[in-house]
Amino acid sequence: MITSIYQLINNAVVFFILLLGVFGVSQAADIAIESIALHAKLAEDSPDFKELGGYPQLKRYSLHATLAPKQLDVVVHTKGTGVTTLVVDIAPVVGMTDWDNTEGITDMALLEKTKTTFPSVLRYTQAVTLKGDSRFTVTDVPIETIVKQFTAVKLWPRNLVFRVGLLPIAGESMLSNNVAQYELVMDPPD
Amino acid sequence: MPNIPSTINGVTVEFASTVNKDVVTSMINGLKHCIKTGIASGHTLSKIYISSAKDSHTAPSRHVSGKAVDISRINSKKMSTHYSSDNTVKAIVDAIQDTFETYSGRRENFGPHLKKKNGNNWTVGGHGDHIHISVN
Repeated sequence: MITSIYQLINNAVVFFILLLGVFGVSQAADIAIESIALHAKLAEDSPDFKELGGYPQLKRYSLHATLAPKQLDVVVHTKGTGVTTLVVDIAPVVGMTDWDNTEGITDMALLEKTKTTFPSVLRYTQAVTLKGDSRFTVTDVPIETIVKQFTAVKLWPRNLVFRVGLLPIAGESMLSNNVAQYELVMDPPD
Repeated sequence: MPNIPSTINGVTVEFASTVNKDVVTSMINGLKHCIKTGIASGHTLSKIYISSAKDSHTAPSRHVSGKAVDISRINSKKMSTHYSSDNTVKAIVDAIQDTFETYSGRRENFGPHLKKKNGNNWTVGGHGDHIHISVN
């Protein structure tokens, strides 16, 4: 008798734990940023179109070695399902150039030594519905405008940090994968 | 100011889409001085790529006054990736820089091969991926 009551309680506890597990799993949700990529649009008459295509990925901003587009797209690859908000912040890392004393030739050592991360100068928010593997694009980010903001005062944005976030939804099991960043190195044009 | 021509001494000149070709006459003469098909013995220069002239820069850069040009590709090959591995690219880049040093109006001559200003060795960073030449 005592044994059977014990077994009954034991079975009930096990059942309760299983029930929790089932509901727990069904309610758990996780959305995440898988990757961030920057892309530039190239016109068909661009000398680079033949080699790079019309929508190459930009891994470094360089007038001479790669590309220095006036605008670029931020393509965010996400996973998970849910309705949320995508946030893209762009923070410049700015350094001194000494252009006044060098006829516009950047003192690279000074640039590296003085570079300072500033708060974001551009922010985009976009309502998004994630359906498994999804890609969202923030288009036509005005890189040239950001650059000119600093070159006007003889500074250079050595890096642009693209900070991307998915605002959490209910029941997330992890938050750290809701945020990611991509740091674009920017070479001065001289 | 005159435009940089699309052919110099038989060498095709290709431009980045952002290039403003208006430069001073002495800059064009400087290009004519060092851009030649046979500039490097044993190698043929058929095309250069100008990534910047009177554009993309901030005063007091000599680009702003049309007195500087940046060349970043030789025979359609980027200096950034081919200078250290392609004998022809290296030979032509070196020859262009060496020859520009003999141009009477030369001022800056910064590139993978040498960095000189007014004929003197000059310390500047970068310029491993292009030749920056300017005139007085």
